[in-house]
Amino acid sequence: MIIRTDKWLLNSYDKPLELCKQLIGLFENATTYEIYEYLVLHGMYQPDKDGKEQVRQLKEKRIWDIVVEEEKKLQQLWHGPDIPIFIFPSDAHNEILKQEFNGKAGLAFKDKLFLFISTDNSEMEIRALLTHEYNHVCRLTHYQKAEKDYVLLDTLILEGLAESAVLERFGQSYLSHWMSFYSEEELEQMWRTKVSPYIHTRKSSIDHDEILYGLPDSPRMLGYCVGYYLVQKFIKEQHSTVGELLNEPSQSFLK
Amino acid sequence: MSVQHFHAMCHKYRGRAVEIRTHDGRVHRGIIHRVTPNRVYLQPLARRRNLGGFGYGFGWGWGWGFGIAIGAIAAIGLLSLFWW
Repeated sequence: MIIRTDKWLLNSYDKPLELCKQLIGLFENATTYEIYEYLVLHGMYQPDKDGKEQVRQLKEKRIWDIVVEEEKKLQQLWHGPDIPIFIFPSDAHNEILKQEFNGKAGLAFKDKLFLFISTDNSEMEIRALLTHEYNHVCRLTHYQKAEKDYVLLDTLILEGLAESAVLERFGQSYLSHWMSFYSEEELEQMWRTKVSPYIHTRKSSIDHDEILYGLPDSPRMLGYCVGYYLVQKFIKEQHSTVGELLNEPSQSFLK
Repeated sequence: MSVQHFHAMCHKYRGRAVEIRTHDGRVHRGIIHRVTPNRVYLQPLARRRNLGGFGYGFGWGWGWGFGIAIGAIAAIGLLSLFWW
């Protein structure tokens, strides 16, 4: 269910804290301020003098309509739940976001989803981004394990499934660019030496994130790349599709 | 005060703990570790609260790279030892 944040933005673009007030019921025990900080950390805009123009351009590109259309297809494909989807402009001045992610980002929960979009993103990029994020929603719905109980292995498989879904629907050219950082041999080696000893690390731990993102000294995007490698290996061996694996226990991908 | 003024102050305070207020009403506290022509990067004094969820690759782990647009700064001041 798309939320018409385009209307919110026309009224309250300059006051993101007011805008985040409307999200307060969706987060347990978080203040408006904490929600906004958290969303900015994941790519949401910070008010800018040219920002309203950015919103106007996103509207002109029919972003909200494209997402509605794509969501319907994905919901049918994966028997997915109807959750609120919020679209906001992305942080146009964040150099890392621009260089590494072409200005797009997202954040998915079992019961809500956020997309942060730049005016430079193509329609297909937005469809691929929604596919990735909505796949997380479906994995979290169909695989009966609460997010609070997630360990690194669960995150690797969840991320691997999401990019595999992008590959299935749109092909290699719409995968995140870090998927081409390493060869299969390198990934196998990285999995054995740098990732597999830590698969039981809890999601709440700093080590979990450092392995996932490859910070500070590990190979870049280590966990994302290894997760995709593990899921792709399993899909090829089992001749299965992402849709068939949404409830597959994470441990099965290691057999 | 102008963007140039805040830019100069960020340079001057590099390596020191500051409090930056932005026009959107937020207060950022951290140690300035990098200044670019239009952004200042803070090393947070405390780990931000994790509200969960799964991102697209950009996010929590890039927290160190989280920057504030210098054009968004309303005020900047050094933090006293009292704060940290």
